[in-house]
Amino acid sequence: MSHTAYFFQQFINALSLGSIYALVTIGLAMVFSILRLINFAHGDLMMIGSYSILMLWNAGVPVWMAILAGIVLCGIAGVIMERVCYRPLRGSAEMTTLLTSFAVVVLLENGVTLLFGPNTRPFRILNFTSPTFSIDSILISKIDVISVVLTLIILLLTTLFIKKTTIGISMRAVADDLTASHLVGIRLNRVIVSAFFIGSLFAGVAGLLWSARAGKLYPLMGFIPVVKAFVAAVIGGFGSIPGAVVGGYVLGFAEVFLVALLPPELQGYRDAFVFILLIFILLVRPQGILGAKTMQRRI
Amino acid sequence: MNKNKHALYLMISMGLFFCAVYLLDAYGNHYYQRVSNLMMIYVILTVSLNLSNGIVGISSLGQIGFMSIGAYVSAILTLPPGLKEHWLTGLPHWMSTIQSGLFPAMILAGILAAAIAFLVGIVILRLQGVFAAVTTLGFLIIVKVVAENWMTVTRGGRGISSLPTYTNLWWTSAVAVITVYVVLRIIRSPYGRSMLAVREHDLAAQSIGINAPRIRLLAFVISAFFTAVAGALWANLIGVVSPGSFYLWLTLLIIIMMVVGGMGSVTGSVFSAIGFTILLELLRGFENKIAVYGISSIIFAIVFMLVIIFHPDGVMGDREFSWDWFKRITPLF
Repeated sequence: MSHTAYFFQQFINALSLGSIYALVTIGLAMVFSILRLINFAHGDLMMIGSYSILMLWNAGVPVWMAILAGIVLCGIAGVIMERVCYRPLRGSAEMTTLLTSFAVVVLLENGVTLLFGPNTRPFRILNFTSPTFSIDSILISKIDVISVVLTLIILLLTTLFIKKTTIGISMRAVADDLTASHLVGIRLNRVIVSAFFIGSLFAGVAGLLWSARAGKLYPLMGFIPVVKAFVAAVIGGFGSIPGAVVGGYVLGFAEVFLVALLPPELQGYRDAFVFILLIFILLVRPQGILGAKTMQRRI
Repeated sequence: MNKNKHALYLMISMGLFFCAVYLLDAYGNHYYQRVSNLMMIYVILTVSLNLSNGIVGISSLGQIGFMSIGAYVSAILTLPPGLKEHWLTGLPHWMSTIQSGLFPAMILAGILAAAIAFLVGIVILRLQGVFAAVTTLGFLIIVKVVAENWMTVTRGGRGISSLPTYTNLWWTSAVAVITVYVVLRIIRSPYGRSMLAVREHDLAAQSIGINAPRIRLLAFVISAFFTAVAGALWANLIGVVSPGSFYLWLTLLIIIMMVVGGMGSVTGSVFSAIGFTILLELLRGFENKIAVYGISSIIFAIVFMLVIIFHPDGVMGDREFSWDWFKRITPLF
């Protein structure tokens, strides 16, 4: 394989991985911009989605039905999570809710381990990872195409939703100033629940893509992606959907090309490099790269 | 006069405590010794986490990373030379020929972790709230990834086993007492008062001349030191260190102990660590009986959420133990 071909192969990998990060980051940033809550359990929604899809599929439900049901289940799980764990804590300190979400992570991961065992399970629905076509020795698999196209569609729809619909406009208002928007009569609970629902749907899609890409799933699968999505959100700024998407893609590219450039014996350290990157970004710009204005306003 | 009296009470209770340690160490069965050792280690971890998170208000989720560093340093230092040459080929020659005792290993572990905490702290402690939290979590992940991949020094995912089990109840209880003493002395010193001021209002504290970043860094480094010492004790108690041991579950466990005891209360941390260790052991027995594993962590997570929702200050808030408590019970005091 020539250098150019290798480069394009990695480019496609990065695009596909970046799309997944972008999806996770949008959900994380949506909730964060409204509640100032880093919902670590967002990653576990990915896990719940993938497990539901796999279990439904194993139970004989047609693939597309299983996928749809799994993603919707994910949304419902997100809403339940909000109702049970975060609503009673509304208005308490940021750290309190953050620690609670940490407890939710342990709860869900151990719950799933209890139900389905700690083992890694194969996830081979629709043969997503098999290369479908190739251009000049560059292999492009279904999952790459689906990831990118799906992410772009979702991005477009979300932007429209946020800009045009009443609930989207309320969401932006609440993100801007929670108390003031409550005062002018916006129904907070409705807005917060929809943010959780939409974010969790995206987490479900991201979970599906993530497990399909890896070809496997396990109870702890959601933790690293959600912390990485935080890195992406820091890169792109928490304030806006485009920011989250840019952050997701930047992270995807940084990660893939880092691995491609590193000598093989250092490739296991990939995640360490991602978080060292985070520390360095925050060292230079404690408010994130693109999010300067929003962060200053909020803190 | 009251002060003399209190000093006397303190000496008597310390005497009783170490008598109990002596009895348990000499005559207790293996299981009780092990649980008591773990209990003391959890006390050290919780109290030192409380110093950084409760008293200074740093939102750190990465303290267990320092424990991991401490445990690995101690494991590398105390592993018998024969095994060292065989397993840890990346060590410099002089290191693979020596085998250190527990005390130097503990101190070196603490100093190394404190040095790393100093470097990491310079960056992380500039951040606010959730940003500091997630970045420290990133630090924890970095430590785990390095432990998993640095095959020639940490033996990767297999971990380092066959460590000499130097740790006994004397070590753990002495270190626990020292940790509690040091943290209490810090709280009651001018530094401690500055720490509380920084926690309550960063900007206001700075405006009266407190160097908030330095105070935070100080607490973070001291906390890392004791956490790493606890890690060293842990390594030489269990006899095995592996990357997975020092990760999310332990992080959450120590946070639960701290929050339920009361953020800012050393007394709360001590009693909460003791109580939760017992609860953990009881639940473990229950798990073994019904052969369903993982229930204890679920119960712990639920307990934590209930406490944080209904009683967010924990049991003690930020009050401390005082001998005056007994005044209410008995006129003897």
